[in-house]
Amino acid sequence: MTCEICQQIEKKIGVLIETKEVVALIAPKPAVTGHVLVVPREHHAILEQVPDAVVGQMMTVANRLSIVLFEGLGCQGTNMIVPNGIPAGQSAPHTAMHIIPRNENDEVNVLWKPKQLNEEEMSAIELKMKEEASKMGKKEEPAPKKEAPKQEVLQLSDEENYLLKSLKRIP
Amino acid sequence: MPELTEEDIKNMSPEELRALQKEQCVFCKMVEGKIQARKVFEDENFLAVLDINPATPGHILLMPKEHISILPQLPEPLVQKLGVLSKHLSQAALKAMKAEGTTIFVANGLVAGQRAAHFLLHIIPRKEGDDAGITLEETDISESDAQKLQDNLLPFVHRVFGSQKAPTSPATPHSPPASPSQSTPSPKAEKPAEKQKPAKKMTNLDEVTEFLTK
Repeated sequence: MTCEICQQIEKKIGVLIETKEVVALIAPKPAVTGHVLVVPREHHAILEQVPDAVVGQMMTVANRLSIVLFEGLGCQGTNMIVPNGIPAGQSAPHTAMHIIPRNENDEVNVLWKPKQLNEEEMSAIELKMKEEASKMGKKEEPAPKKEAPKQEVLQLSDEENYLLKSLKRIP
Repeated sequence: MPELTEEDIKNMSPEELRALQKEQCVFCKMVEGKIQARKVFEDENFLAVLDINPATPGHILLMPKEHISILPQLPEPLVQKLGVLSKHLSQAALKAMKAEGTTIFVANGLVAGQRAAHFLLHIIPRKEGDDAGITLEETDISESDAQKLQDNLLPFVHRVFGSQKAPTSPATPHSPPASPSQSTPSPKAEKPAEKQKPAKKMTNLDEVTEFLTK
């Protein structure tokens, strides 16, 4: 299967900036004019597969691109969105950080309807989340004080494999 | 505390202004432990709590402890760390909620949907058929329009990133397609958070954060 994003990178179509690991592109299917993408150069389906150091760099590039959109387009705001998996609306099998310029009365609608859960539900979620968050930090980030990006081997859990399988269904 | 007039606020130094914002900020109070929150993660720079009005169950708010309004104000090493943490918390949310995906969401500015004066990164667990929305519409862009946009943005890209590329990866020498002459990004590009304060260059960012002082 050929990935459109990989092809765009290879053919250097709409490239704004690139590093060894990260490429910023004009979005091929923009929500509004000025919509740009930050993607890992290497093909990864979801953000969880991307090595930490590369994710960090993606965020840095995305943030600077936000500034580029503020300055270059004079927009009044920006959204940065990673749709991770099909239920999140991910439409290409190459993970991407979307940076979208925003202006008053534009056509973009990315807001959600807030829900209200009861205290019991919230407490149960808090417990589970805390547990997972504590495991995560230890496994993936053994030296949190170090500023240097870590090199690490990626291990996929079952959940991620599920995500991957569903992404492969994307035509 | 006496009522502040608009004039008072105008005359404040950036430090005073920040102190005032901090004083009134709910999220700063969470950071300080003055307001209770369902904390799920904390380190020296960041705090993650459950959103009390979630888009879906398990909606996490990840925030820098320092009071900043929009991401361009965050020092770059922390921006990088924010990226890594959002990946890790997304993983945690996937597992904890048995979710099938996540939406990672940032709004810089009122018009982007920002509601709080303290910068927040949202991590929203997703499942098939949830009604959270946040779907990006996809339109077509002609080759010439894409080219025009690229031409428009490139000078700004070069300014913000410096003439050379490779913003953050120290261990990766990289040869860019053009001008491989020098490797230091301009000091401007290094510290976007600082350059906006003294100079008038970043008027747009000033406007973006303006509502926060009202």
